Amino acid sequence: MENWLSDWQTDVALAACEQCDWLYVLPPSRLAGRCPHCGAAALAALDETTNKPVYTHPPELVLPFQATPRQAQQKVLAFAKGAWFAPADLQGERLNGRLQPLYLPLWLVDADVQAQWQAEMGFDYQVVSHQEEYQNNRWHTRQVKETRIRWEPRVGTLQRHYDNQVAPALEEQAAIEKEVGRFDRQGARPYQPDVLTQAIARLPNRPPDDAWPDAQLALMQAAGDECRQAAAADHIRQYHWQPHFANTHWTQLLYPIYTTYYMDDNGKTHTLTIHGQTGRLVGRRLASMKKARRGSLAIGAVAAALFIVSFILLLAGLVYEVALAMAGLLFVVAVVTAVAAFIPILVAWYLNHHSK
Amino acid sequence: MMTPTFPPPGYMRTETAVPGIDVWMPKPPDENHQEVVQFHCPQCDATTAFSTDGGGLTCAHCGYYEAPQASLVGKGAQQFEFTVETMERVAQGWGIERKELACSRCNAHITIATDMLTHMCPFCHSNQVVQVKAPQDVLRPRFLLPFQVDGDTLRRQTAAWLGSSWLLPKDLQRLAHGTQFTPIYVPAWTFDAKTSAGWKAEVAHTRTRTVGVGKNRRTQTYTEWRWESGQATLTFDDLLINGASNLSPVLLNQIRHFDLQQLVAYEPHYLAGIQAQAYDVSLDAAWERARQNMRAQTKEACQRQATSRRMRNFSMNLDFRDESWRYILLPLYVAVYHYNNQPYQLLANGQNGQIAGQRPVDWRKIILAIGAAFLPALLLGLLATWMLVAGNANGNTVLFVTFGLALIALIFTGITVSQAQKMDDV
Ligand SMILES: [Zn+2]
Ligand SMILES: [Zn+2]
Ligand SMILES: [Zn+2]
Repeated sequence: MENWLSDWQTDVALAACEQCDWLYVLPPSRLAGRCPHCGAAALAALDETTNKPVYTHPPELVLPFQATPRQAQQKVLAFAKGAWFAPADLQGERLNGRLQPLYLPLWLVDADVQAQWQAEMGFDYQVVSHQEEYQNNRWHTRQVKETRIRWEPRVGTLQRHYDNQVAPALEEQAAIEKEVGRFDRQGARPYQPDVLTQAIARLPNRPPDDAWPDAQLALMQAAGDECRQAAAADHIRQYHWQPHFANTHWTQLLYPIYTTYYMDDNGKTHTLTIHGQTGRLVGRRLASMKKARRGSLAIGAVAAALFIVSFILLLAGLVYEVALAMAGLLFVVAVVTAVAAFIPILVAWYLNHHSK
Repeated sequence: MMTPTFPPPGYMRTETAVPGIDVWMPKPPDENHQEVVQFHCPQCDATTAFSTDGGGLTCAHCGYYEAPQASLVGKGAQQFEFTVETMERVAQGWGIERKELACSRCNAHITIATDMLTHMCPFCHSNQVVQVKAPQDVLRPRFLLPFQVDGDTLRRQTAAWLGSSWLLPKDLQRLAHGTQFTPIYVPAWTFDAKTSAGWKAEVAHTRTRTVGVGKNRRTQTYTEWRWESGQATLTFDDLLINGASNLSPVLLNQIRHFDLQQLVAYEPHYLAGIQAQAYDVSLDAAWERARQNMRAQTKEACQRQATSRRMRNFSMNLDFRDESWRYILLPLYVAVYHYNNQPYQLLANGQNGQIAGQRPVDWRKIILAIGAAFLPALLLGLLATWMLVAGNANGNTVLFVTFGLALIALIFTGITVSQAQKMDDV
């Protein structure tokens, strides 16, 4: 087996995460680090000649980071600051020390398409309606216009070239996009080996053959939209086609994110992700149940103490009537404090179940 | 999924805005628009006409009969929306354009007005149906109610109708048998809509209270005004508005009960030999009238909801929804008969034979009857006067009876005159 890593034209290694199975190409200095996806303790270095991934070629295009590491760090600091009952590990400085730039792959597909198609095209038109008001024995009429859609069948042929239709290179693409957001593909640059001096790149787990149905779907959507334009329609539905593709060309594009992680009370890692272009941070801010429980316990102890004192005063009240009033007042305070003891646990529980 | 033949049958190529993409669309249904459709007999070449008793085409010359091929659509007949496009075309109107037509039978050149849908060549008497090119396809008549009553049935019904009241001259019935009924199609619009309204008003409630003290203590009634409000939704189905301005709305109203379940798709053969008018009350004018009718009914429905009909500061708002319209032709018979050198117009519903029209009332009969009604009161009155003068104690009683009889006579006069008025005056 040839050493395919040399195609990447820089000193890189192949590694896999044993916990989440993500495959990375990374600078050897990063081999000791944790998995940037799931935070698992160690990455396993793989011998590239015996472990050939499904797709090994270096990317053709790279979307550069637009959010600087400094901007990303500030987002992390702001995230850590606003945390209630934060777990011990959720500290801005600590998380920033774990900030890792990461590239994820995406396919861009070009193709010549020849097809027969049929669809229902929707044309907007306006209808006149009336609204009336009766006041002081007189009618006042107002004409209102309403837009409706007229659907008509159309068939046709198509002979077009489409560029840069997006297809997922990762199984998880849809989930990632839903969480992190979309990326602006303008400003992509040809791959330079130096993008991997600091950053890690993930390898596609869906090779072109596998992603081809998704690419066809993207092409169909592009074609459908062009057919709608061709028919001068405002809307389209029920688009069906019989396509023939030629000269398909696949481009691998890397898009940038930052990741970092923290551990909760139980030592479970939670990953934070930052969009490499917009700097938007996503991740769950969990509260430490341990801390909250400790808080509740402290308040509960105060309440118990108050109960005891009020009981003593009650006994004293048998002798001194003044003490009876004091006992009653203290009893009320004790009850309020006992109720307040539940607040930390409830707040933490709420945060852990409603934070996104 | 994809049609095996491409393009599918019935499709035509249309414009495209993107090079490399070709677009086909369904052919519009009315590609072969025939301007004039002529009707003649395949056996003897004489003119054929629509037969009002069979519903097909008949030749009066040789008896040839062509069975009808009606496509009944009923109330499911297509309805159209008030699109901005249609309303703009309607506003432009058609103008009183006249058409130069050459008769294909005798080659005579004739000019006819485009507001007539049918025509009979004055030279060779052939029946022709002019397929008017409307400013928009939807403004052609698309549906019609065919004639279901023939002239003979109608004449019998007319005779009964003319003999149905003692107010009419005796010799009138006899005239009915000679009356000539001319079938014509008149244009009409049907409208559908939903109205939803919200209203509020101050509604009057009568209350009583006790005022004053001692001797002056009494009950007093007064009005209490209370705000009430409510909502009403009404659905209007096929509200019929006349499309011809030259027909008496009063007469038309009396025979307006057409059964729209019998609507058929327009075919020129229904019009063969029958006069037919195009509308001259435009869609927007008719719709305006229909809306006035609908909102009046909605207002009435709102006011009925109040706990009392006495109210003030009534206000409401009303939204029209799901508005649609149809242009149809209705079958009517028109007849004129003469009585005492006076022409009287009759109108009959060509679907159910309902008759409306002016009837010559015999006013002499009426005056005599009224006189006879007052006679007993007059005689008793004289008797009462004589008795009172003579000092008879029963005079007062007789006078009361006289007043009673006079009152009855007065009521009779009122009813009779109003009935006669209705028959006479249309
Ligand atoms: Zn992992
Ligand atoms: Zn014949
Ligand atoms: Zn002629």
